[in-house]
Amino acid sequence: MMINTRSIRFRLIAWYSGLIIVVAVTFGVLTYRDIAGHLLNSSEVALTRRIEGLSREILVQYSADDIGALSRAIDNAYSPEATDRFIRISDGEGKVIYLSSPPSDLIFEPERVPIAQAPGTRWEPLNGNGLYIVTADARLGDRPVRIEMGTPITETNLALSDLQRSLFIGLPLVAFIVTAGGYVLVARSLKPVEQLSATAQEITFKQLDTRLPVIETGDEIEHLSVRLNKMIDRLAEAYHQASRFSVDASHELRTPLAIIRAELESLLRQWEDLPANLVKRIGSVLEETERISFITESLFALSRLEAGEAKIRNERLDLATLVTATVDQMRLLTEDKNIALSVRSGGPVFVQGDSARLKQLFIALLDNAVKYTPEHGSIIVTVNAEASLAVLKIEDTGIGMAAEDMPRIFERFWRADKARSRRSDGAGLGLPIARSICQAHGGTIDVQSVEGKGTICYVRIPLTA
Amino acid sequence: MRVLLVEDEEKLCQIISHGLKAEGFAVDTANDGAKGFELAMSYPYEVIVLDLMLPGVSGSNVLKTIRQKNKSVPILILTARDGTADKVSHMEAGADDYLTKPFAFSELLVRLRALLRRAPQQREDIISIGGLEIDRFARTVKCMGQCVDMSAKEFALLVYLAQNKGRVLSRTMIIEHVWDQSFDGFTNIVDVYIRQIRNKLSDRGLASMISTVRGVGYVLNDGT
Repeated sequence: MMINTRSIRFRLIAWYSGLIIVVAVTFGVLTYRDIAGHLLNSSEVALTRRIEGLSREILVQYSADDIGALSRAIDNAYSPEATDRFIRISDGEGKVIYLSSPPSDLIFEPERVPIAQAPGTRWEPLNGNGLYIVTADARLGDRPVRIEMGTPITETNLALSDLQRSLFIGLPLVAFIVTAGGYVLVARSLKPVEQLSATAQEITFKQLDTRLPVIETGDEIEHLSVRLNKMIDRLAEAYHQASRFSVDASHELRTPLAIIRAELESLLRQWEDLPANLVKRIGSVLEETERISFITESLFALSRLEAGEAKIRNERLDLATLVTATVDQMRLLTEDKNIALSVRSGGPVFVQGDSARLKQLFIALLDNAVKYTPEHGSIIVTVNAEASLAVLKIEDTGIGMAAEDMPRIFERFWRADKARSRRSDGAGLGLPIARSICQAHGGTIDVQSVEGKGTICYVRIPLTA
Repeated sequence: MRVLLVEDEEKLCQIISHGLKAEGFAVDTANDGAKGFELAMSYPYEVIVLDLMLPGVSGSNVLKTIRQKNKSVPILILTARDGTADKVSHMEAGADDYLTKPFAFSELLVRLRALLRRAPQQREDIISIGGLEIDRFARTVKCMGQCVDMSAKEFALLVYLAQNKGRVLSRTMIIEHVWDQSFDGFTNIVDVYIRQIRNKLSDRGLASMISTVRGVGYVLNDGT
């Protein structure tokens, strides 16, 4: 599965778990350092206090000549071999006066611990463990001596490694819980958004009755969907008004047109001895009236098609048969202009649709091809199934279209200047109607054209079983 | 022949009424649904022309009520609404024909006459007009005694013109009769066919049988 790194879900989780992990790691490191410091610090305090005790209570009682008694006194007072303690007293030249015996568990060898060069605290690593040693200067009788007192820090280490282990296990666990929990939380809060977007995708001008689901969570998303629904209401209203307008307008135009037409026709009928000149003029007005009627009809048809009425009937039909039959009905149009018209089809091509509309679509396209193909040209119509699509291809050797005109050919009333100047009939509504029919059948229509060479028109409609 | 015309647009009502009277019909007119219904119930009309958009009682209701009273009078719907769904629903409600505004008067006339020919139209197998002889049974055309080859569509068009001799037929009517409505407006197919037929007839010396009535359509006369 591809993770969309730009998605809110991903970014939210990444930021949030990243932050929490950084906080947790910082917290762990600081805790570790504090505790380690604290443990060592308390060892240092204890050792310093012992050194002070040693010099105050024992050293003062002995002189430098009485080392045997001193050693016994120290051993008695501190029993270093039993308590794993390291004690050494040396003179200024590095000569050892007293050295504690090896501890009973032999975790370190006192002889191998180097003598301190200066007072202070130090860390003496010893095969895996270590000695934490505090050194201080004191006096034995009239001689200055250096006392080193150490303690193995195994226990300190143990405590710290426990902490370390907890942190090493704990932190990834925290990270995992944080991420998983975050995922669940974010997924839950984003679920309404997904529902919204799924429904929004279904809302088209043919499906304006659908509204977004209002998930009553009381949160911002509920507000959002309520507001979006209100927006869709307004859109739907505007759209319905627009389509009602074109229905009403063509409706209102029809009656006066009917009257004009009827008046003119009755003129022609009732005064048959009108001067020929006048008859011709009335006829010309009638022709234009018919033209207006046709445009009105086409606009009306277009708005109804766009309102989703294009598929009144929805039957399984063979596009190849439909096209072949229509070509035969129109063949005379091409013969009249000496255009070679051929149909190629690779067997039945079944689609789901309204045969009258599809026929209209095909007639509009073929008629265009005939109109814009000069005498002795050729038109090739091909119907085939390609993958899951029925493909109707109409290829002509006509005048073609300029590249800059191509984006506009599906606009209402648009006609290339060249075509306009030829004063051909039609009102520039054939292609928009063709496209509406095509879209109502879930199809697409594409036109490729080379000016002066010809045009190829592709109609693709989903196949049916 | 008594006709009831229910149409609220007075001008249109007047013109249609004049036109029909000139064609020999007796015409009663009503400008709203209630009056239309009253008249329809009171007199034995031979045909009713009914607009759908009427003040008061709508045309659809008038149609339904007349049919509920079991009146079998033929009803032609005249409307500015042309949705195919509308058409189907009114045909189902008992209308006999449906004509969309704006229409050619001659079309209304042809449709009314068709409705009035209650019995199957009296159609001779052989139609003879001037030097033209059409055998509908054998599907042959003779001009001045000579056979003329015609395609199926040309033949259908010629028969349609011949059956309505002297009457102007609009392109729409011809398309509906000989092809189907899908061709309406998109093509000049009728003109091309008429030209073909004319050429074939004039080759045999019958040049002026089919004439063009500009803005209206075509008419076949006996060529005199």
